[in-house]
Amino acid sequence: MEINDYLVVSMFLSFIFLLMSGIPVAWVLGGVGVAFAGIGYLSDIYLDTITGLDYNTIGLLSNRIFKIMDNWILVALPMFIFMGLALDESGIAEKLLKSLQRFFGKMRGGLAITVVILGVLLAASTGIIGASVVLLAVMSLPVMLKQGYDKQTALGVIASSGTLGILIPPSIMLIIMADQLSISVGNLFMGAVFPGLILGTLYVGYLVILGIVRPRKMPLVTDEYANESEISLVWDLFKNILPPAFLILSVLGSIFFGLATSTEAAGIGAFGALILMLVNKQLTFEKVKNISKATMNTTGYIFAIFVGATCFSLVLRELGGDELIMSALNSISEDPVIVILFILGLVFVLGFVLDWIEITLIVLPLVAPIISELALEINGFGIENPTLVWFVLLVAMTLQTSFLTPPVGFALFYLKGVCPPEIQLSDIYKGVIPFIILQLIGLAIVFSFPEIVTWLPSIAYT
Amino acid sequence: MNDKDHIIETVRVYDEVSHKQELQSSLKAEKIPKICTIIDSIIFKIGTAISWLSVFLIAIIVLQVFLRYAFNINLIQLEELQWHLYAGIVMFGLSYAMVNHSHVRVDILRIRFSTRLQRQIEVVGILFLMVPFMFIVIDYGLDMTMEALRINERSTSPEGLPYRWIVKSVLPLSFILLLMASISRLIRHISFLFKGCKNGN
Repeated sequence: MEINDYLVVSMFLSFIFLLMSGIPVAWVLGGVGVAFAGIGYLSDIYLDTITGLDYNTIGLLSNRIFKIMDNWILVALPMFIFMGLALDESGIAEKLLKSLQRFFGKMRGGLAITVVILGVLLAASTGIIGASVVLLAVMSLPVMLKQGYDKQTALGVIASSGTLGILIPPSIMLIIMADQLSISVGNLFMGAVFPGLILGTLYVGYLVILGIVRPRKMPLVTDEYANESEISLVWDLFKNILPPAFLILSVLGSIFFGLATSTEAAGIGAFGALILMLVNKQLTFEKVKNISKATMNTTGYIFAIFVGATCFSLVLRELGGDELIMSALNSISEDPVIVILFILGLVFVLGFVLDWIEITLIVLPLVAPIISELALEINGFGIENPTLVWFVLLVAMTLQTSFLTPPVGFALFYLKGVCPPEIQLSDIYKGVIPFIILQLIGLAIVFSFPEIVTWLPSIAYT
Repeated sequence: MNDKDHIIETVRVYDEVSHKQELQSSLKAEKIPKICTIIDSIIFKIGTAISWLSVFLIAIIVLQVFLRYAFNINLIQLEELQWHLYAGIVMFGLSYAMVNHSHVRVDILRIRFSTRLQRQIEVVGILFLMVPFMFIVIDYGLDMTMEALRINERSTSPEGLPYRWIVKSVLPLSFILLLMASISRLIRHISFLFKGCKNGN
């Protein structure tokens, strides 16, 4: 190895070391970047390397941050966050849970299926794992335990349904991924629809089968709703599911049919969520103020990592890190499938310690060129960059699985934080195992049939 | 529990989970130096005021889409205004998230450290990681803004917005606030560590 390569390796090692010390990720990234710019400068003088790093090079940083600021695609991000928070505040989630509960109350495992459906619908609204896991847990865990559900099953359903949100559009993770890899947000959103539905279906199928095989794990309610007529139940459900479903479908639909860009769709979605609050008589000055503040806070911590990662990757590139990583990955194997599996494995392990924001901003841009160059024959139905779109969704599904996996999955800790004290972390660990298996099945399906991802984007915008 | 309480409860619990560490340490009757409370509350107020831009941004997007479909008008100014507003929200969000203790950390090990060690690490982090990084962004950000002001830079599109220096100045200004927030944090930790020593704690 050359001196440059040692610098790259030590840059990564100091990043990991400082990360573990608990300093906020964004500042570790930015600070390590600046420090290694200094080290590169000194090594040019004393060690005869040619990094070309000096105070002017690192000054490019302000231009690169300005590139983040004038990025029209990312405008969608605060808008979708706003929409999600407004949907939460509108009180729709609770109403929906109640009517879904009544509708599925007569069916074995109905409550658990309700949680999956809610996860899919709500998830769409935030895309922040912590928020959706906590929301689902607070709303449904007490009800499930009261009804006598097996606690491990209940915990497993909540954790896994909560993480669906980072995959199902309009997920903010997909927006950032699209921006980083210069692929279309619309294509990614459309590509994510079927993988998301497959996972949802796998979850529901598992719960139905479990209800038949192990009825004791999911007892039925003792005729609490027996005297209600079917029609009133269906009407009630319809009434409550319609507004949020309409909102989310119209956001996706306007992108699908090319009526609006993703940024416009996000803004209109946020507006629609405010209208829903108005209809539900929840629209107050105080609430809008709180939503705006929370939007700013969330975008603030996401973009801090953006800004830090910009600095890190700028210096990494100057030190020759890109080439080092490319040659390392290329030397693994000639077989593209093995290279992809290796990268997914790496993402899976990184998901234990890093949130999707960091992984998307640091790892994806490094590996994307390699993926584009792999000799993979994928039926893209003529969409742009089919390999990348498919690969990004594999990464998204891998990350989601990683967040569920003991011992350190993010979702598990958020869930533990809101559980009653008698629930042990080990209950959560055992509860998520079947769902991790389902995730792996879903991942294998999408891996084997890329058409699942590429077909929908190919018929959109017509 | 009615719906409203329920949501408030949810939000509160979420806040607690995500900032548990932070809350725990601030609960221990810590005497925060007055200067820190002042700086933090200034940044908090600026952030709260700027957060309204997101409502404004929604209005602009709705207006743009409305004009396009109702009157077939496409205004470049509106499109550019959107990212100007967005830039304000995200950049001033940095310091706002900092005074709210929201920045993402990997706390697998951190939760096992003593409060003292946590604060010592934080001091080192602020001095050697944050301050140099922020200094460079502020230094070059000011250059960039001054240059834009000097040549009276405007949008590259003829119908676009003038006065590009305004949005460029968001970069140094927001980082100056961020620097203030980290200095306030620094003072707070150092004063805690210093007093802790005296009490033999």
